[in-house]
Formats: sequence, structure tokens, C-alpha cells
Amino acid sequence: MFFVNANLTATDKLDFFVEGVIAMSQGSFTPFNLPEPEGIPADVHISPDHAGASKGAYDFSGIGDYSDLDYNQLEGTLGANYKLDKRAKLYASVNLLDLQDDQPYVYGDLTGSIITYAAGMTVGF
Amino acid sequence: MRCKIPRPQTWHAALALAGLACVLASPAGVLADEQGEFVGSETCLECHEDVAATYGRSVHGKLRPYQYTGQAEGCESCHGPGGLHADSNEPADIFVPTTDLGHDGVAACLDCHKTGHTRDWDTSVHAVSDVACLSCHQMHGDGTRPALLADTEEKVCFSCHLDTAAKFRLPSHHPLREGFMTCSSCHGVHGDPFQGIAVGEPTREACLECHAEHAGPFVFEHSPVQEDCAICHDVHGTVANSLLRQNEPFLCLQCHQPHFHSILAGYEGDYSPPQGAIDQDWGYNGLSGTSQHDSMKRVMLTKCTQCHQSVHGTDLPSQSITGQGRALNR
Amino acid sequence: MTANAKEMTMRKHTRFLGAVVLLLCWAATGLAGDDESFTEGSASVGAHYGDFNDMPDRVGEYVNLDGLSDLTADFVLDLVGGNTDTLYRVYLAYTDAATNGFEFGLDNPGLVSVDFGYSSFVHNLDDDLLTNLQAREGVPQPDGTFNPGGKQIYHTDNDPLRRYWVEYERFHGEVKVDLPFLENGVVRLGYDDQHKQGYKQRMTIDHCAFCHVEGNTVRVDQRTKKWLASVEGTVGAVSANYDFARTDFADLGGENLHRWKNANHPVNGTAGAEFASRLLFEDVTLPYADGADNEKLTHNAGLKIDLKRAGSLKGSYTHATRENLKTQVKSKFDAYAIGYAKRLNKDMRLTARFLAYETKVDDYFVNLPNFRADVPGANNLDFDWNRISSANRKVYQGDLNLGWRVGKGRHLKVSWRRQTIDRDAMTQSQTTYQFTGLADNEIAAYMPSEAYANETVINRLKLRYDARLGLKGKYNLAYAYTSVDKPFMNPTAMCEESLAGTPSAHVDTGPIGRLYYYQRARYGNGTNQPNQAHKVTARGSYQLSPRTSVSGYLTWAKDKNDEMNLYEFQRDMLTPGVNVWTAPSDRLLFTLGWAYNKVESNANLCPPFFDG
Repeated sequence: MFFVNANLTATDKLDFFVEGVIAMSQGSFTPFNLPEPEGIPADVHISPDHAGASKGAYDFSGIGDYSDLDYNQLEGTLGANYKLDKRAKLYASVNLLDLQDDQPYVYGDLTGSIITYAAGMTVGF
Repeated sequence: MRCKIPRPQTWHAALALAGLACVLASPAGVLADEQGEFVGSETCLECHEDVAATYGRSVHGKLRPYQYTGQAEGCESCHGPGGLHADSNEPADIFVPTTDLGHDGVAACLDCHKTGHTRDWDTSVHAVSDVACLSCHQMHGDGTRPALLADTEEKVCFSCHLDTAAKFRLPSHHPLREGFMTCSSCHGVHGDPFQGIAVGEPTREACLECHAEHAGPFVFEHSPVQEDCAICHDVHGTVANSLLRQNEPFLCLQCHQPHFHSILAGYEGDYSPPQGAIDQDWGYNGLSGTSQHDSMKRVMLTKCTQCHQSVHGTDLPSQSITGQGRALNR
Repeated sequence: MTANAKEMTMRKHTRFLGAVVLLLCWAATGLAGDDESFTEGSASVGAHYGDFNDMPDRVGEYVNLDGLSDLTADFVLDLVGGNTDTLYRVYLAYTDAATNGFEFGLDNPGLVSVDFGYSSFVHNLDDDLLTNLQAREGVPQPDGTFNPGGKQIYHTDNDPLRRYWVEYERFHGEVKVDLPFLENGVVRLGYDDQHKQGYKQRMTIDHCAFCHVEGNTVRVDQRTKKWLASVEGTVGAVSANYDFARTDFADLGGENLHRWKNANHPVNGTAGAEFASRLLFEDVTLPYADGADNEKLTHNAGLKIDLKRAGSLKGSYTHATRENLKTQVKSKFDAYAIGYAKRLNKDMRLTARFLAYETKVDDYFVNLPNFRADVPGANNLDFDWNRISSANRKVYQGDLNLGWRVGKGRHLKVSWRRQTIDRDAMTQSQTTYQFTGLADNEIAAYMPSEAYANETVINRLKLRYDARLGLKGKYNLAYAYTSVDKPFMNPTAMCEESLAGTPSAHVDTGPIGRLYYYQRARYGNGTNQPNQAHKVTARGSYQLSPRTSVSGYLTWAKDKNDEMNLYEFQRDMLTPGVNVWTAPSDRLLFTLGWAYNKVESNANLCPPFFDG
């Protein structure tokens, strides 16, 4: 995860600011295989049509394909303030939220982004 | 320099514990008053104009005489007598609480703030860690922040708890950085007997303040819910959804075995209910699916709560008699 | 709630908010008028609009997506002011109709203060597509191929691609009246009202004959009201307080009903009664996702005694009850706490705490129909059980902390905690069948060990050292070791015992003649709680130059549980981070940060052998 915050006073009236976060996050399950059972226990009742056959499939190596998580997330704001006088200033900013889902889970691909533009005036008193 | 501000000797309620006091009393507990006479706030503010500009606007500047618990009012209620300092102009001649003083720096505050939220301060985790009042509060700031905080609550807490701040940037998090809650929404930062959240009660009750739907008490329980919400949830932020410490099914499999269906091989191909089920109208008409060799595992080892929806408890029994209604899926 | 209904709710909120703004502004202007009156703050007025792509619910979990693409006015008012006696504060933020709030505080120190506020935001919820829930059993053949089997799993999303969300609103208010005749005398009255409205996805599952999971839309309408009253004051060296709280939770979302299908054997479909007799219900419409209304009452009384040189001593008692208003199941909580703090000398400070509490929830007898009742040849086993709550416990906890100023700017802290948790039932994951005709020792084979299940003892030692690096920096190092005897776990989590000679299997003597087992005894422990935990933390900051400073932290933790009977649980955590603040010039400021967090743990996977 990386963060950055920066403020630049370009002139006495104009300043810029930027804030950003990049977060890379994973949740993973180490693949594994279970050994086949060594013979079916004598006390286990197996349906006649399957007698003597293990009904098991013990290869769990694909488990990560359907339960792992892998997100790359970017959050950033870029903005500027312009002072009109001692008390008043104009502001404008753009905010981006972006998520890349590289390992879609049961919610499907959660990749998505939101961008928001804002502008206005602040008056101090 | 440290000093103990003199105050009335109100021992009558403590006499019953005098024996204990005699045993525990330390001769080094109180330092002598070495700051001269009380001179009044007006004398202080003659020089400290910067403080004067904001002090009067703060809640401390508007206290009524009966709210002071010591001998002095105004500046000297916290800083002690200012006579010597006023004469010498030496900073060392007046008591100035700083964060460096640790608990000694908070004594002046606790003389008044001995009840309410700060009642348990002196045995709190913060106090034990030498966090002082001034670590978070700014007595001589502009007085515009609630509770005289030095900055926004989030910034004050995160100035020390940097690792916690980072967790709030993970995909699943409580809406703190969005501004819809604060650290003190959950944490009793001034301490309480449980070192938790809900005053006088275990930590679980703090979660139930907002998530009362999980309070029950239910007929069918999930024991970690009664034990500690943090067994499954990391409330500051997680990669997995719903603030789960790890993604399902791994989290669940640490305490449970998977269904025996998970070891079944899957048939590869499309399927739909057999004609017999349709003829008898079992309720599965129109359904179909595509199965792969590992499909049984995809069903059973992806997300346990797809079926076990009521993991926080329920009063409604699940379907199986042998499960005794406890499967938490209704 | 339809989009229109949601907009109506939001408009209602907006009107309410507008009325509050007017009221607060009127109240604020009324405070002006003497020589010491002042008002300062700022107001921002602007507008915003946005757009989103793909699936914005996750990345914008708390963003109101409705109307985001419309140009929307927003404003913020942050105002403080006052006069000789009174201070007030108004903070108001309006982003959109569902994301807004205000805080108002009026403080006349020594007489009265009033605080109230409101906040509203949207929490976007997930829509589970359920697509992983499709499978059909493959029956292995001698030639390695698989024939289609009888077990089938289906899913249906009854409201596909629905956007789920909850709008969360909270109003809180408190009036504090100072009592001039009593030192620190205060009476407080408070009210807190939380309201969650929206829709969420809830699944239902039919698992006989085929497993069929359905995704349904459920209305959320939950309200939690809390009333608080307290009084506190100081007489001489003694401070006392009493607090009362009443919390009512109500689920107003309405009943959710699901039709459970006929139970039929997935392979031998004609044996309908065979499966039905194993179930509590089938072919019936019943509620699900039912919220439990509850009521909680809390009383807390505390005493603090200033012992002057001997330190301070305090104690409190808390009594709380909560009742599930649907089932009338009640819980009772009693807690006693004592705390003591004393400065031993000018460099050493001691604090001690002791806590004892008990939680008791009513037992609940779950009366169930017999298994395979009225099926010829079946043994009609009785599965009734008495639910003993896993919340039931007695807890005793002691803490001892010693702070020692070992030098100028250098502190050493030593802390020790001992906690015992004595439960009635750690978990009831194992059977509690009322076996008929079995000896006690046979039944015991199915029950978790009493000795194991009930008592946990925790000891924790923590050392912390704080120091300054001259005038430019400071750091602290801490180490904590925790030893837990019998930590919380599921003692019978996994790994089933053989069926041979166990009472949970029964060979039917009826026409089908197959073996049935109910829930085989399990013997493997499972938990994510350690019995030994080491944690090292380091934190520091240093000013490299007047224009550059750096701060960092490192947490390393190693947990393990080597007292489990099948495997050793391990969890390793590493969390370093660095922040750098620099100002290359008067006009440029930078803060750069890096954080890393890795947690790795293991589990024992023990799937049962499938013989069904």
C-alpha cells in the first residue's frame, strides 16, 4: 500500500493538492491435494452399485480458483484552491475511486470505478 | 519542574480507607509548592496575549467559579500559582504540562475531570502507555474543535496508530475515513473497566450498539459470536468482504470440517432434474445447470455463508432433524 | 423500496435538514450581542457530479450511487461562536439527499449544555451471483469415467443483478445540566435513534430432494432506540456516578416467507416419506431471515475515591438484562470492577485493575420430532436437546501495570494480565442427543470434554520501552507474550470417528434396509486462537532536518497452538510501514507512505469420507 499527499503553493493565490493511495491486496488459499484413502474401511456401508469404489475426488488444487481474492485499488484526489481575497476562495477537485478485481469471487467481477468532480466557493467569517 | 496544586483537604470520605492510605502513602508523592502566590489570570494575560485571544473563547475560559475544584481560578487552576513566574519571567518557575511529563502532565486535568468519561483514565491503557491529555487535546488552540482536540479525531488517533490507519484503506472497512464514524464511536479512549467500548460491558456490546440485530439472545447460536466478534472480524479493515479476517471458506475451515459432499467428483455436462421429479412436481421444474469435475468443491468450498446465512444466530430452526435445527441457514 | 420510495425518503430527510439549518442559524444569531460575542468559521457552497463504470458498489461501498450522475449542490457550514457565557458550534455537511448530517452543540458551562446531531449515509451491499452453486454428482466407473449421479445442486437468483443497499440514519441528542451545589455535579439525559432502511440479499436453501439455493430480496427496516440517563458528582474525596440505559431494537422489515419443497429421495424418488421423516419441515411455507426484536436495560453505578498520597481507588457495578421479545429468552449480565492507581515514588507508578463478571442466558429446550418417526423398521431416535448458551460464563480478570521513568525521557512499562473464563458450554457443535438405552460412557463419547470445553486461562506479560532520540525523535519498543491454557476452540470440529460400534449408526430393518447415521462423533480440535502468542512492536519518528521527518512502525507477531490433538495451528503476521514528511520548499509539502500487512495461517482440512 502506497500513500502520497502533496500540497503545492503555486502562487500567493493558487495552490494545488493531490492525495493518492494505491492498495494491492490478496487473500489466497494454498492449493493442496489430499491422499486417496487407503482402502475403504470395512465398517463403511457402500451402496451395492458402488461396492468397493471410492466415490471421492481428493484433488483440491483448484480451490484458489473459486475462493481467492486479488484486488488492486486506486484512490486519488486532485484539486486546487484559488484565493479571491482574505476570506473567500474557489475550489475545484476531481476524485477517482478505482478497483480492479483480478480474481472474481462469488460476487462476479467487482471491477469498477467512480469519478467525481466538485467545485465551489468557501467563505470564511 | 513538577508541582501539585494545593487544594482543600477533603478527607472525610476517605477516612474509612485511612488504614490503606497509611500503608500505601509515599513521602515522595507530592512535591512542595514552589511557585509563589496566586496572582490571578489578568496578570498572566498581560504577557500571554496570544493565549488571551483564544482562551476566552474556549470552554475553559467560560467556567463559573463554582466549577473550579482548587484554590485558584483561570490560568492558575492548571498552572499553579504564578507569582514567582510573574516576578522572574522564567519559564521554569511555572508548571507547564507537557506530553514529556507522562502521567504527571495530566494531574492538573484530572483534578477537575475526575468523573464522566475520564473517571477511569488513570488505569486506562493510554495512561499506562504514558499518553498525556496534551497528546490529543490542545488547551490553548483556537478552541474551535470539539473537546479541544488538537486536530480531527481521526488524525489525532492515526498520528500514533499508523498501522490501523493503513487498514482502513483495505477494500472492506468501517466508514471512518468517509467521515461517517470516528474512532470513539467504538473505543473508550479514556478507559473503562473493560478496556473496551461499551461502558461497563465487554467489547461485544460495542459492536451491538450499531448491529443490534445480532444481539439475540438466540435459540440457535454460533459460539464465536458470544465469545468475541474479533475471532472472525478485523474491524479496522480486511481484504475479505464483511471485515472477515480471511476469506471464506478458509476462515470457517479453521473451526469446522467441510461437508462430505466436497470430496465428491462432479459429473461433467449439463443437467436438469430427472423426468420423474418433473412428473411428480417436486418444485424443481425449469432448473438446469452445468457441472464440471470440481463443481461439488466449487459449491462446498467457496462461501459457506451462501447457505449458512444466519451465522450470527437465529431463532428459526434449520431443516434437518439430525442437525437438531442448528445449521444456521434460516 | 423502489427508487421512487427511496427518493421520497430522501426528500423527507432533506426537508428535515433544511428545517434544522434554519433553527440552528436562528439559535446562533440569538447568542450574539455582548462585548465578548464572536462568530467564526466557514461556509462552502458548491456542486458535484460524477460517473461510474462496471460494478461500483465495492469500490464505492459508502458512496450514494443514486443520482451521482446528476449535478448536485453541496454545502458545508462550520461555525463556532459565543458570547460571555455561552459557546455554540454548528457543523453541517450536505453532499446529497442520502449523505448528509449536522452536529449542534450549545454549552453554557456551569449551567447546561445541549448536543445533538444527525447523520445519514448509504452502505452498498453485495449481490451474490450464486453461479458457483451448480453441480451434479459424478459416479466413478471402473473405466475411469463418471456417470451422472443423483445429487444435484441448483441455484436461482430471484432478483438478478439487483443493487442492494442500506441507508443508515442516526440521530443523537444529549442534555447535560450542571448542578451548582455539587462539585462535578451533572445530570445527563440522552437519546440515540438509529434507523437502517434498504434491501439486502438473503438466501434460502432447500436440500431435499435436490439442493436448491435461492437468492431473495429482503427488506431492511431496523430501528434501535436508546435512552440514557445519568447523574454524577463529587463530595469531598468521593466521586460517584449512576448511569441507566434502555435500548430497544425492532426489526420492522416485515415477514419473509419461503416455500420449502417436498422432500424426496434424490435417487429413490418414490421414497418420499423417507426423506420427509428426516426433516423438521417440508412442503410448507415458513418464515426466514427473521429479525429478533430485543430490549436491553443497563444500570451502572460507580465510585471513585481520591486517596491523595495513597492514590485513587474506584469501583463499579453493572447490571444489564436483554430479552429477545419473540422467544422471551433473557440474558443477564453482572459485572464488578475495581481499579487502583498510585504513584510509588517520583519515578514509578502502579495501576491495578480487577474485573469479575457473569453472563447467564436462559436455557432453551428444543423439542424436535423423532428421526424417521413412523417409518417401518426405523429406530425413531429422539433428537430433543437443551440449548445451554455459549454466552454463559464467569470471567475474572486482573491487570497489574508498573510504569517506571528510568531516565529523562525514558520510560519502561511492565504489564501483566491474568484472565480466567469459565463457561457453561464453549460450543455445542457436537451431538447432544438424548440417546435411548445407551450407557453414560457411550454417550460421553459423543460429548466434548467438559474439562476442555469450559475453562480458559490467559496470562499475558507485556514490556514496553519509550525513549527520546535527543530533541529530534522518539521511539518505543514493546514485546508481549501471551500464554493461554485451553483457548477458545471447537474441540470436536473435524475428523469423524468410525461408525463401527457407535450408537449414531442404525441399520434399518425395514424395506429399504440401508444404514443411517446421524452425526458421527468428531475428535479433531479446530481453532484460530493461539495458546502461545509473541508480539513485537516498534514505532518511532525522527526529524532528519527542519524540512524532513520520518516515522515508521513494525509489528511482528507469531501465534501458535500446539495443544490441539491433530495439528499445530500457526499464524504469522508482519506489518511494517514508513511515512516520510518533507517540505522541499516553502511552497511544496509532501507526505509519502508505505504500508505492508501480511498474515499467514494454517488450518487442518479433514473432509469426511463420503459413503452416502
